[in-house]
Parts: sequence; structure tokens; C-alpha cells
Amino acid sequence: MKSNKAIKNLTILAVIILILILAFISFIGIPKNKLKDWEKPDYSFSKEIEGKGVSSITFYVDDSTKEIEEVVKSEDKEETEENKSDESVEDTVSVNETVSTDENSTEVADTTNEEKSSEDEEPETTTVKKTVPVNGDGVLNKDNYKKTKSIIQERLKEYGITDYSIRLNEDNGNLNLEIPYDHDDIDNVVKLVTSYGSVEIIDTDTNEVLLDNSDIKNAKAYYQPSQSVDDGFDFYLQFEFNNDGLKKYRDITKQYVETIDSEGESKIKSITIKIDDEDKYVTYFAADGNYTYLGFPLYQGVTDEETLTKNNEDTVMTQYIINSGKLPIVYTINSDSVYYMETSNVFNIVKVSVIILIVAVAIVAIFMILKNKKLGIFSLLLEIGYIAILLIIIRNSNDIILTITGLISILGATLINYYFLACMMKHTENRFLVTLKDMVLRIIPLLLFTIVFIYSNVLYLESIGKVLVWGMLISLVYNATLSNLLFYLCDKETIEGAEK
Amino acid sequence: MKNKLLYIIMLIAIVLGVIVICIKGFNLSVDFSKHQRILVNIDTEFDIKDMKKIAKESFKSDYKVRKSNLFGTAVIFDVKDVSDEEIRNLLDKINEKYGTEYNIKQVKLPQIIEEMNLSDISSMTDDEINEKITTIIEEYDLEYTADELKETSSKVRLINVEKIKLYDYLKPYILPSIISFVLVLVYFGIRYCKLEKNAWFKEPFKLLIKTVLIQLFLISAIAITRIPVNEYLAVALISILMLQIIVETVKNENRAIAKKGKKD
Repeated sequence: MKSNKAIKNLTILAVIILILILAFISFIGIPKNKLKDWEKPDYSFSKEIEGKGVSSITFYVDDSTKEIEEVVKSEDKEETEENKSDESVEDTVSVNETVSTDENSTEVADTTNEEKSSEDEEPETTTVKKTVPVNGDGVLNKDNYKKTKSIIQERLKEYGITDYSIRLNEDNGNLNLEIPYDHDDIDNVVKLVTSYGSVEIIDTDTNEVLLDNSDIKNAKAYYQPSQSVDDGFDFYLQFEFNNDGLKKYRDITKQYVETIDSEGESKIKSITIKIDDEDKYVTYFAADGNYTYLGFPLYQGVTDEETLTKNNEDTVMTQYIINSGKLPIVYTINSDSVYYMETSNVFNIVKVSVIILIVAVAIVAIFMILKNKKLGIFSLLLEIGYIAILLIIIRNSNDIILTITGLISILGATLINYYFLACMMKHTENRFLVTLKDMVLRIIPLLLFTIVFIYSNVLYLESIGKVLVWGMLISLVYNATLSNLLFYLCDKETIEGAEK
Repeated sequence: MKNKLLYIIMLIAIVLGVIVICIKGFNLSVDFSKHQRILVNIDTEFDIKDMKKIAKESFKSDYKVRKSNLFGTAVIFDVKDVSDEEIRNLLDKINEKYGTEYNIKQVKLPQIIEEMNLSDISSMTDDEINEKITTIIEEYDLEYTADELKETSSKVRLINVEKIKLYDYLKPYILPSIISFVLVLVYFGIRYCKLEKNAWFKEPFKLLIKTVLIQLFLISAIAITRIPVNEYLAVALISILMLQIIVETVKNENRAIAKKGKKD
């Protein structure tokens, strides 16, 4: 009988020691190098807690001009010549719809169909260079500024930045973004905002636009082992078309093929895929092929690791940019656009949270000890063990970023566990199962919130969701094992039974 | 009776809140409101407390002070409303403490260049520049020389910062909160359907009304008391929503237990 009691006391002692070890590991760390250093993984904190700072990036509406080539038919050309003589040099350079009077433009004008036209009596076509504003006058309005802003927000969301603030000057369209400071992110964000996102699939010979953004349902980035280079990779972009686009695409796949003429010579009619006015790929189709998607490589035969990462990132970014739609307005940055700002917390959020947690636990503990005496003391010990395990999990989990809501959720999880312990103390028979049934019914609504929040893609909500779900899971396992065992061993009847 | 009184108080507060929001809007924090940002390069490390002290002595409206560059040698002052006089005061104090020689003309130059489209001033004729100088004197009450206007690199800048739209800030929180709340309403309808007659409808409906009232009351209280609206608004509203759901669930569970006890 005495040995039974001794075993029970020893078990209680073992549980207490286990809890203390857990608390030690969690709050102080694991000893390393003869107790000189203590190893403890760091928490991942959000920008406002970590004081990591933010990058402020200002994007300006691009007021520069660009040169474009336009194919002009003979009648149009005459009109153009008239325009040239009528309008002043200044006007034609800066205004969108007129042909440049730059002398070079007429020098480089290329008569493409001259000979053929005299034979077939088709109108003569000439390629002329025009200087036009990057953003035409008609596009700079409030609606387009707002549309641009929402497309940029969509791009940032796709890229995974949710913790940002965006400001739009509705008078001039300039945009300011504040994102958590990360040197690598700055370049990518600049690319996301300044990329126009235009896709054109054109006839390589005539430049006729066959398909554009309006025909594309979505773009998808992927990579696969290279067909041309050993141990290399190709990075692809694949377009899926909407109904209209698919019809057009199927027609194109029948027309843009390799043919053999009567003299036995091969003739290839090809398409060029252009993204943001840049030729990305030239291709043609197999005459007997049945095509649904259009996949093409953006990068081929990449072998070194650094370029692999860069190209993969670039392909995925292009996917985000195309899927979020074409920007109505083109933006640019200047040398003063980017600067760093520290976060300015008026108080140390972590310190304050720890104090609040300690005070809350202390208040509940006093109440519990007064009410339940010995069991109350054990419940405090158990609660400390619970907090220790929760913090170990949060620290070691790669995907929990603690925001201010996450810190509040730690307090919430602690109080929920204390409530669980309080309910367990009320029962003596089937203590855990009875309490579990009551608890589950009480926390189902909270669980619904947390599950939705985990998938919300909003940092502050994800933090709540992940901390609370872990908190509830740990509470369940911890109370089913350690708490249940300790309470069982401390029960009066158990002790009396052991003594008997 | 108590509940009725509480609801009446809440309704009155909501009506008052709506009036305040319509007339004055929310009291937005510096970050959320349209404000001006003064960026000053000190070129040496400094204690942010000293800058906060200088800001306190210089600005009348709400402000925020923080270090700017990664080396900690520049400072940013975000100020809700700032006059030229306040900027002069600020620069005098900074010059005095750190031995710099900044003046309001340097601070305002980038803004003036942007507002008056003077980025291509180097290509202007002397007459054109003189005309611009006169316009600047008339509009900004500041006199620049042609050389000063051509100076592109400035260690002090005044930047107009637009406001953050409250809706933009709240938008990401809306859908997840609505989805989870609807799930909870469905759960209430199923779980407490036997609490009373038509409880499958009454319980979720009661929860809906209470939640809407409490959330509107909170928003109204924030508007009436002029508590600055900052990035923690959504966090506060969601925390209270979750707390309310827990309280309502515990209450209903207790009712369910009591009802079961009666039956037994």
C-alpha cells in the first residue's frame, strides 16, 4: 500500500518535473556550449512587432513618350503628308494621334508592298514611326487611376504581400505603396506595378494582332527539364483561352503552319507572342495538331542555380501580371521613389503582451487556488506547461507569423485552456471525456472562425487562425494526458484508495 | 427591461454616430489621413527621442516621427497639418542641434518642381526661368535663384502623402469575417433548433441582430469619442466579434443544458 502511494507521489513528481522542463525549454532555451549559450528558435513576428520597417515606393504616371511603328495605307499616307505640312513640329511630337515629323521617321519608312501593289493594284502600305505619349491623354482619368489601383492590389495579393498600404492621388494618379521591408521584394514589387501586362499574339510577317489579353482566360507558369540542354530547365508560360479566344486560336493553329508550295519549297507562316511590346517567342503549328492551350518557353536551357531561381520568379511574376489584367496606365519610378521607414511603435508590443498574459494568468490562478486549493495549484502548474508547449510549437512552426492578433490569440488560447482545466476540476468521473463534450460544443463557433481565417490570406487573420487552432489542438492532447493524469493522481479518492 | 434599456442606448449611440460620421467623418490617425511628410537627412546617427522632442516643440497637430534610412541617419516627420512657420521652426531646431543648414526653400523645392512641372528647367531659357521664379514667389511666397531651381539633389524634402481609404484597409477582412459569421449562424440554427419554437430561425436571427448592433455601436462610439482610427480598428472589431460569439455560445449551451435538465 505504501509502495502504491510512493508510486503515485513519484508519478506526480515526474509530471511536475516534465512540466518544469518544458517551461525551461520554452522560456529559457536548450543549453548549448557548457551552459554559456541557450538555443531557442526565434519567433516570426510581423513588421509592426519586429520593427523591421517598411519600404515606401512612390510610382508616378509615366509622362514620357515612345516611338511606335504604324503601317499606313496609301490613302492614309497622303493624309499623313497633309498633316505633316499643316501641323507644327511641337504639336506633332507631343500629341498622341499625329505622325511624327521627325525626319528620320520618313527616312526609315519602309515601303513593304510597293512592287506587289503595282502588280495586284492593292493599296500601297508604308511603315511610319510615330512618337506618342506612353499614356495617351484619354487614359488619364479618375476611373483608370482607380482601376489601375485595384489591378495592382490584385497583383500584390497574388504575389503574397497582404500586409501593405496603398495610397492613390486621384488628381494626378500617382501611387504610393508601403510594404514590409525586404530588399528582394522591392524589385519584384516595382516590376509588378510598372509592368503593363499586355499580351499580343501577332502575325510575324504583317504584325496583325490575332489574339490579345481579352482572349486569354488565364496564364500559368511551369517548368520542366530542358529538351536542349542536359541538366537544364525550361520555364514556360501557358495560356488558356476563353470561348472566343479558343475559337480564334483554333483558326490560327490551322493557318499558321508549314506548307509546301507547287515548287516543293517549304513556306512557314508563324506567330509572334509579345508581352509588354517585347517579342517573347515565335512559333507555328503542326497542320494536323489539335490545340487547346498555347504554351511557350520564356527561358530555355537554364542550368545555374541563381538563374534558375531568378527565371522561375520572373515567369511566375509574369503569370501574376497577366492574370490580374492589363493596366490602363503605365507607371514609372524615379530616384526619390524608394525609401525606408522604421515602424514607430509607441510601446514594446511583445513586452506589454507578456505582462498582460502574466497578469491574466495570475488573476485566474488566484481565483482557482482559492476555490480548489491543491488542485488549483496544480492547475496553475498545468497552465504554465500548456503555455510552454504552445510557445514551443509557435516558435518552431515555419508558417506562424505572430501579429498583434496572434499575441491576443495566445492570451485567448491560454484562457480557453484554463477554462478547460476549471471544467475538468468540477468532475471526478470520466473527467476528461465529460469536459471534452462540453468544451467542444462551446468552441465549435470559434473553430469555424479560425479555420476560415487560416485560409483568408490576410496576415492578421491567419495569425489568429493558426495560433488558436494549435492552441485548441494542444489543449486537447495536453489535457487528455498530463492534466487528466495529474488530476487523477491528486484526487482525494485516488489518494485514499492508494493508502487503503 | 435591462436589455431594452441597453438596446435603446445602443440605438441612440448608433444614430449619433451616423450623424457624426456624416458631418465630421472619423478621426483618422496620421497614417490614415492625408498628411505631409518631411524627410530630413541628418547624415549622422541621432537619438529618435531628441527628434520626438523637437517635433513636440514644433508641431501643433498630430504627428509621427521615425527613422528613415537603413543607417539610421535620416528622419521622417509625418504631420497632419503643417504650416511653413512650423517647418521653419523644425529646421531651426534641427540646424541648431545637428549643425546642419537646412531651410524651408530646400524642403519645398521638390514639391514645387513637381507641382509646377519644372523637371526640365535646365532646358528653359533665362526668360522662362525668371517667369517661373516670379510665379513661385506669388504662389509659394518663396524666392529662388535659377541655380537653386536647377539643384536636383536635396537632403530635405516635403512629400504630400495621400490618405489610405478606410475601405481599402478593411476590404481584406470583410469576406473571411462574413464567411465565418455565416457558418456560425448556420451552426446556431442547427445546434439550437430545439431550444424553443422556430429556434432554427430565431437563434441565428438574434445573433445576427445582436452582432450588427454591437459592431455598429462600436463604430459609432469610435466616431463620437474621436478615438483615432488606425491599423488596429479591424483587429479590435474582429476580436470583439469573436468574444461575442463565444459568450453567445456559452449562454446557449447553458440554456440547452438547463432545458435538458428540466426534461429529465
